[in-house]
Amino acid sequence: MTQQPIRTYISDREIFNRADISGNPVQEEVLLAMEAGELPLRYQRNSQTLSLTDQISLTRSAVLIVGCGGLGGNLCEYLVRMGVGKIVACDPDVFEESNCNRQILATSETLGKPKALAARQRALTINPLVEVVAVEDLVRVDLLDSVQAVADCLGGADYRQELLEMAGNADLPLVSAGIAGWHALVCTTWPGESGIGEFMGKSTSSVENELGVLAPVASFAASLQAGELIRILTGVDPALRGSLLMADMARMRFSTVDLNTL
Amino acid sequence: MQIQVSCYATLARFTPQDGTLEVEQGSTARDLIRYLQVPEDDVKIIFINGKSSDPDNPLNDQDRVGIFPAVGGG
Repeated sequence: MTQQPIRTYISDREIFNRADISGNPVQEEVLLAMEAGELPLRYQRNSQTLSLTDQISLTRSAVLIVGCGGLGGNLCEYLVRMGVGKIVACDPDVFEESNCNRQILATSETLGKPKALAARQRALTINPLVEVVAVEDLVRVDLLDSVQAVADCLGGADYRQELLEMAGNADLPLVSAGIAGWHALVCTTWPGESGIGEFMGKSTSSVENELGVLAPVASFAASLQAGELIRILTGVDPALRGSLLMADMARMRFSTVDLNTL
Repeated sequence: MQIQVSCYATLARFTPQDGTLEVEQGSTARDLIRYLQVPEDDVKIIFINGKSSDPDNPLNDQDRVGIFPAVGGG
């Protein structure tokens, strides 16, 4: 793909003015501007690492985030700031006080409110150039129709295998993370290949119940998921395809193992 | 033969003293798990020399075995 040069930078205000005049959705005006070499100012500091072509790819992309808790809340924040055009944030739960130790979207204002809605509201305050759709429900197959990748940010092991199958059937890559205590696992599953979900059967007693879940571990794992998703959406091979990164933040030990050998 | 063993997360306490274990020729990861008295149901990932492996494959001298439980919180 040929790399387009950045001709100039453009403010959010100018994009909104153009949308007012043209009647186009804001997201469409963002794309038109970038295709003409105008990069939104808010992405200026992305541009030393991401090309204009990459930023256009992100703008055209949609990601389904399943779970808007410790992992999903942070992941949504990163993808919104990076400029992923559309995020479908899916979670049937409301915030409880026990979420506040690690879930970035759990605040005094959002207690008792739907997590998916909080993700959307937070996104509106961060980046009005992207769209976040809140789904206050369990994940459904039709939610995978219009996205290019799925993020497994579930709390608990129960539905991970099901989500893995759903993503595989929809021919979509799945970027998963799981955390407990100071430990994190992160894995990217390509359709039809091995993935983390296979190691978490339905009846599994997952160790987070014993070790709890911590804020820095949640944000760390979500950062790695964001990195993988950005690579996928910009057409770069994800670093953890078919492998599992295991982090022990108590000892600062990180290792990656190959999963495609079974 | 000598095997290097690491158990992770809630299973860390089952890691042998100096991280190594002397086992008989032909032993498998499953034998090792039983010897260390790791609850088998809690073991979700076994990797040998950086690759996920069948617990019933025979081990070789100086293999590095990792034993991991399910880590599914979010």
